[in-house]
Amino acid sequence: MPGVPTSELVVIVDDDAAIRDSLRLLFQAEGYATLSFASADEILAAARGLPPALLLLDVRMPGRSGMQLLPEILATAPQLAVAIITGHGDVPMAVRAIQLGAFDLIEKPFNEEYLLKAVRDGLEIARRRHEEQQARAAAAAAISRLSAREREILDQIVGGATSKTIAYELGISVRTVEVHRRSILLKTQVRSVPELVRLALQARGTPGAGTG
Amino acid sequence: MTGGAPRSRPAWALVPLVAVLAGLGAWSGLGAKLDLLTLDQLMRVHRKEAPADILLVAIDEPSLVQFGRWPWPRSLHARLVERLSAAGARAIGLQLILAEPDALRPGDDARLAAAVGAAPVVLPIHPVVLPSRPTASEVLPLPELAAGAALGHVESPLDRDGLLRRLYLWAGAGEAFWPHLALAMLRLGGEAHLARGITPTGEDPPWTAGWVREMPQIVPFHGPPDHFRTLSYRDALADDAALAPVRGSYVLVGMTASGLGDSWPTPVSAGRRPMPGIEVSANLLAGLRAGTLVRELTGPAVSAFTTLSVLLAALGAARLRNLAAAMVLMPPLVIAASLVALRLGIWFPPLWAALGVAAVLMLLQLLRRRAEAAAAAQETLAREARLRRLEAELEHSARLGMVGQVSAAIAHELNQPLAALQAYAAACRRQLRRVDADPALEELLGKITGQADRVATILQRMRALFEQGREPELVAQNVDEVVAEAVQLALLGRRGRPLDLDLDLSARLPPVPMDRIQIQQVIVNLVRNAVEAMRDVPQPKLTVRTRLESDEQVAISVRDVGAGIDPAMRERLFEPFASDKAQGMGMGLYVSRAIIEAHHGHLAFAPAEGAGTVFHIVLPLGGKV
Repeated sequence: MPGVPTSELVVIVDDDAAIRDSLRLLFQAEGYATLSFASADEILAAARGLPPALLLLDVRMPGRSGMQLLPEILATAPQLAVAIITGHGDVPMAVRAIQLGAFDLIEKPFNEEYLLKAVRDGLEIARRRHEEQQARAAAAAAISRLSAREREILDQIVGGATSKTIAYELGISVRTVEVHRRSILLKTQVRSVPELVRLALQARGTPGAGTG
Repeated sequence: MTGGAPRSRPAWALVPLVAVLAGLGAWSGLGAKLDLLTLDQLMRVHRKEAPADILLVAIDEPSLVQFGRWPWPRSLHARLVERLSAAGARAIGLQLILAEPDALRPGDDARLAAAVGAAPVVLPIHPVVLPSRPTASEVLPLPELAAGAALGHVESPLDRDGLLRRLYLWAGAGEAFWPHLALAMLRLGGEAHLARGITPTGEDPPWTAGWVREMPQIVPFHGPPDHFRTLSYRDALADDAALAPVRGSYVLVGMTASGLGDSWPTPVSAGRRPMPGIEVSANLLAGLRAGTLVRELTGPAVSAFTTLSVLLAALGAARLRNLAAAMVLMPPLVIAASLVALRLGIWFPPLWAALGVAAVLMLLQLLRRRAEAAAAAQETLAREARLRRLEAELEHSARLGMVGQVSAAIAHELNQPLAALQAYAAACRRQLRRVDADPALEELLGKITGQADRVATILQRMRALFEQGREPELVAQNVDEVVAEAVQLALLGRRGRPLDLDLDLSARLPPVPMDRIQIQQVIVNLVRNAVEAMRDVPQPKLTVRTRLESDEQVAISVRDVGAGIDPAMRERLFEPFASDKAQGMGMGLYVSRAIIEAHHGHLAFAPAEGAGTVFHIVLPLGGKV
């Protein structure tokens, strides 16, 4: 299993060097790790390889704007939480940013507390997303260990069927179903049926693992 | 009135003025000759058969040959009167001067007096108007002759052109006492009732010194001289058979031989010999009897008639579309009307009426032209005023928009360092805490951040001030119209080299939602930039084109043939305060792009093929806004 990041990472994308520099100093003083990029295209190229992090994305930059690239960045690197930085935030822009997947909109010049709170929130979101992602990967891995018969029975369980029904459906004895069930719980390391269902659903949500 | 409605009332007052002037002209007698020419022509055309019961007995050349030199012995006349009377003449007009007694043959006078006394004879009274004397007198026949005869005057007044056209039914010295010889004959012949209405009213006018005339009458010429039945004096005396037509007829006796006086040039004697006095009288007599006398309108009546016809023509013509045709047709129509009137027995001199009608039509035409020109001028003025208003509107909104855009740009530009400043200060505070520094330092830092916050607040307020109404108001517009108008506005009042403008409009574009004024502001800006870029080009050419770019977009392009954009400028062209012009802030393109982006469109430029630069505006057709 991949390790949890040792220090929390804040990624700054702004064409203004002074902004990049000052934010880097501020976040480092707060104990965060930082990475800076001068354009939206640069971050897009690097996004996939980044650990979970908060991304501060300036809207107004030469070339493609932050808003334009936001959907692409999120699709490439779901482990990132993105906050938009703008010189003039209005309601329509905020709505659009949220719709495109940003979790917040931060106005320049910065309100220190708001900025730091947003960073904390964003990192929390990134962490949670990362965890979910990992849980999903773990669930998928667990389910991949099941035999074909066991997976068949798991599907029935997720569909809400009782052992009796499953036995009838598959033409086997109730006792055999019970044996498989125990084996499934053992292999997936969960203790109850509800947990098992959640795991199965989680695994399906993982790209390439389920039917969608 | 219809058509080009009159705008200036004072000008229309000219119409009655013209009518009144024409009336006065008719009264003045100016141009009367032309009127007479017309009348003469009409008379010549208007021939009538001479009545058979009016007979002329002519003292002609053969008679002179037979009876010798004039004057003849009056016994000859006495015999003639006796013979005519015996043959049954209704009345005899002896149109000879019989004023002095015959000293050689006194018996002859008595004999003629006897013959006259026994027959229905009218003797003439001649006017004597001497230029040297203010008064006029009458030459009467010998008293013994006059005693037994009816009397009638034979004045033959000539018009200024020397032609005899009119006779006066009544005339006399000091008082219009005497009927014309023809009228006297009519009375004598027992047909006075035919002349009813033409006898004087009976009122006694004051006696005047000169020759007085009343009731002028245009002589109703029946034809040229020698038109009436004529009998030679010689034959009347010798040949009984020749006297057959005398029965029941009016007979006029007088000179016809040339050289004996009493012959008059008339309108109908053109190219022929003058008309003998007796034939003139015969014509009048025939007219009197037939009731075909022509009443002549004179003085005030002609004036009134002329004025009226001009007014009527003006009224009629005001409703006409084609005044030029009326100008050609109406004056001859007036003359034709006067011909009809002549047939009906009224002579109305048409010249002034025709002139007046022509003048009034010209005036109407002139007024109409002027009204049309005024209307056209007003339209042009209105169009120019509209353009100017549009320009002012655009200018105003552009300036306002510019202020807003500039302040937004300033705010954005200041925001960047301000944001950095705040972040640096925040970082600094944390560093200070970590090294456990003097609390006074942190306090100072707090003051720095406080001032930075203050600047931020000011910027925010500034932006809020101009942000209102910056959102474009999107209304579906005809792109071609918007573009054409903006180009016109941009080039308004342009001086310098003539510009080759190629306005290549698509004409098939769907309406596009836009803020008309904002988009026009952009186009005006691009066109002015293009013109500016071509300042040193010998043959400047501006191409503005509209096209349907795709199912979702229209493109407007503005192309110049200038030197192109400096490569060093290209990067920063749309940035605020980027300008290579001596004047100007360099905000035009920055603001233009902001406007186009607010419309969810694009503004871009590229080097044009050949030379110069082309700017493209791409606007979405709508749907997603």
